[in-house]
Amino acid sequence: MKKRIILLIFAVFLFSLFVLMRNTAVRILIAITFTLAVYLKASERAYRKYKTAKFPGTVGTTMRNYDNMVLGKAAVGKNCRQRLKLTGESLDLTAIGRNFYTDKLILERYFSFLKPGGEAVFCMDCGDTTYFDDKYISRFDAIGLHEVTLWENGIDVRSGEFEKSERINSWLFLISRLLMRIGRIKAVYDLPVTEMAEIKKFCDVRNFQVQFILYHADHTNKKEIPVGLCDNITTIS
Amino acid sequence: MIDVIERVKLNNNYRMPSMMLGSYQVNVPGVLEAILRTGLECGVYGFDTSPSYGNQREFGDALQIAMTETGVPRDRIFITGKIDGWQMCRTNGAVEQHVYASMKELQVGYFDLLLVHWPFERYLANTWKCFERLYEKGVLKSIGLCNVNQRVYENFMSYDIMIKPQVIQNEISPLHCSTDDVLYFQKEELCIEAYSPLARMLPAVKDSAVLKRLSEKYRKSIAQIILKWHVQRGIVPIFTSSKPERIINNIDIFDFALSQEDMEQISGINQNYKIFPESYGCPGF
Repeated sequence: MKKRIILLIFAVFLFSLFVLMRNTAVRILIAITFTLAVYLKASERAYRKYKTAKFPGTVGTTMRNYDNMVLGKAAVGKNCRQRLKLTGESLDLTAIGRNFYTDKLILERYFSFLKPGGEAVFCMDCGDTTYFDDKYISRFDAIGLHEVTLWENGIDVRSGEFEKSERINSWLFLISRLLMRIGRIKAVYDLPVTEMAEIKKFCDVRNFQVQFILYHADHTNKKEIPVGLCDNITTIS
Repeated sequence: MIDVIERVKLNNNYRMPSMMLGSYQVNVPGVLEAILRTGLECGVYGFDTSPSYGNQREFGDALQIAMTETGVPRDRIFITGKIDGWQMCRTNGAVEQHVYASMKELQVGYFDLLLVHWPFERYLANTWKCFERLYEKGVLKSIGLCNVNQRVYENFMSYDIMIKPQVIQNEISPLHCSTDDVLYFQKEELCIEAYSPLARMLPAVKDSAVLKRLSEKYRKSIAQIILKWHVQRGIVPIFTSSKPERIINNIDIFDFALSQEDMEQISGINQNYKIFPESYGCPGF
């Protein structure tokens, strides 16, 4: 409440300045400041909502035993879900700016939300080489990962740095969502077949299925796929 | 002083109460004091703590007050502690400092039981070595693991283990009976503790026709029926309540026995439903 009153006073102050000032440059500056303030507030709010709704937890969420979970970049996941017509209860774990490295970490944390024999669906954006190449935790995913995983990736949630980076994330959130897209480059990439085989083994041992959707895939890349993985791969052009 | 609640013998001959009180999400000092005092007065001498519950200091203070007021000596009380994932990873398993820090907060000179809270594979072997050292020193009277299934346990036993665990603490409730794991661990002579034994009285439990019928049949509450089901399975339930009267009710289960048929009916409620899915607490579980 106190914060809201301060914001309101700030807005009234800016508006008064805008009306009273004769100098055009100052007026433009005030308008930019106002727009920026509104954007930051809206972005913070949207990020807060995303943080509470995106990843399931143990307190407050009672849904378990999902039939499938979808991983990958948000835009690709949305498209794949529509085209694959997944049945049953589905857990959407896609995110803006996701990369394959983080998808694997997300799977490792959330697979217990699947029912025995359930399916993890990796929607892999083959039109974007960064999806495969980036070997770090993607920006809006740190909040969904375990403290130990973050520590192993050089992020200390108990430090002030983490809070700072979360504040920056909240500012970047809305603009990132507006810019989210599916890669359109005819990408040259190496499918991470070793990691994919490891993921399949991981899933087999823990009694659930995995499917890799190669979205915008170049068919020639399929030659690289080991025989044992072929049944787990679907290509969508 | 006679124990109202029987004690079970662990595989190292140390004795542990067959019902325990948990401290998860009980953070109000006054409430903690009331719970511990009630527990000690009515014979619940076993308590479960963890640094991740964020209340060890308050628990330690409340325990001292409750012990003074009730006159129950330390050697009648069974204190369980835990080592968390963040402590394991930051020390690469050399967790001595965290064990001693917890003991200091809880104001105890030893742990009756110390558990690895989540079996992070990368640090588990080193952490267990540290547990073994402290066990040999007498700082830990018994040691064990939380949140493990048969696969994880077998993998764990493939390490260079000198001292076998005495206790396994898992989430077990009518919604998650975990029958295969229970039978396996009992065959391995491990004592099994159940956390969230009442599945937080979710609608699937509270509104269960089977449990309602048994509640009427035995003239006991649904919680009492479930706790009795655990005890008759040879499992030590760790229940939590912030209300002293409920603690008294929950332990009033030693004057009746569930028939084998009723035991099976409760097990039939199973949905493989877990409040704490393992991989959430321990990625890659």
